[in-house]
Amino acid sequence: MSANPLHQFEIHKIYDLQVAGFDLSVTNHTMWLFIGVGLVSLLMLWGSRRAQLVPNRMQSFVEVTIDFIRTLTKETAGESALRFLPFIATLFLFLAAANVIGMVPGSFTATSQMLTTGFMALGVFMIVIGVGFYVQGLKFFKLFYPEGTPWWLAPLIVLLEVISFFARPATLALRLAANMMAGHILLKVFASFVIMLMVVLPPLALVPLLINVALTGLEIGVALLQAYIFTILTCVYLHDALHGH
Amino acid sequence: MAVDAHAAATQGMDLFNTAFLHSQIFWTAVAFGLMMFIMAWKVLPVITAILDERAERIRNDLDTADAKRQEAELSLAAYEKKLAEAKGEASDIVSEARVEAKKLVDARLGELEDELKRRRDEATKAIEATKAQAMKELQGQVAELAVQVTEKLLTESVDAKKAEKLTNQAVKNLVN
Repeated sequence: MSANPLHQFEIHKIYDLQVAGFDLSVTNHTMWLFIGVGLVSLLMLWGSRRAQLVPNRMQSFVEVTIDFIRTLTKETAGESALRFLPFIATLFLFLAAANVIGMVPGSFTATSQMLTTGFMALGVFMIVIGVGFYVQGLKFFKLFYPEGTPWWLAPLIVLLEVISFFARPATLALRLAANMMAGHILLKVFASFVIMLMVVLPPLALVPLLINVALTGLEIGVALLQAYIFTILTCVYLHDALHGH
Repeated sequence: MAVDAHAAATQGMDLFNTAFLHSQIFWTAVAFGLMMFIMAWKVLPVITAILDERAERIRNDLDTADAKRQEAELSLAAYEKKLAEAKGEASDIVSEARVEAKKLVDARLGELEDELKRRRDEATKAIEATKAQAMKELQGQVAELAVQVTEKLLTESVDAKKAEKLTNQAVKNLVN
């Protein structure tokens, strides 16, 4: 292991795969993404395996999770957004899986990669634009000129709205990747403190160790929270697309 | 390794390392697609169906409970009505019985009074008859005595004193 706290974000090839000139090699990024997403998918499948009217524990867990996302969707994006529930539920579980599997020591956090989160944020952005024009037609442009704006403010407001609209995918991607990265760097830095102090002053090593234990709990919370934030913002944007401002 | 060399060369730029851009995007999309397929094909339909079924079941149970409660309230009302009726009937019977008893007592008292009156009248009559009889007999005897006295007066001359004495004696005889 390297002492460099950024080493953990390094992608390396596991299986070389070139398709039509594209490098689609299986990497540690791919592997851990599939492990996390696979585990969560299995959990969901297991809980809905033999659904009973009176649920067992696994079924209850899956039900509570689905109901949580469903309520979130309904309250943030409205009743009509429920047809996007498969997408939104997958988005939340996918991000939660990728974020949380990154907490396993030695694993890789796919969502700490700006390219991955950027790709997902752009995907959400495209879907929102598509839905917006499909549902509202050209009225979707009203998003940039909120009703009740004085005409003399229009140039400024429209400019601001356009900027904030196109900043959405960037902020979405940055927020998630930065949070994941920062947390993992912090853990790594405190872990290296433990090792340094073990050499210099062993009893004192307990301090960063305990801090690291607390940070691990915090980071698991952040992992879930960031998945939640990404999802709820997607719902907010979908609300704009479905109902206007 | 070449990858390590590359990473070393771009030290600090790992986060924006575009070496595996296509791999990242492709596999992220594949993972997302697979998961969305699982969610849309199995998990969500099953869970949504079971949640709806449970909601339906709860709604039905609540409706049934409500109907049962109304039924119970109705039968309680009917029971209370019957109870009130029975109570009214009972008090009717009691008051009727009381009236009947009073009637009976009154009748019996009247009869007794009549009986007593009759007996008293009879006794009075008997007494009066006896009295009249006695008087009649007395009168008869007095008359007889008077005749005897007169006879004696006629047969033997007696002074007044002796006459009185004789009379008294006669009366005494009569009474005894």
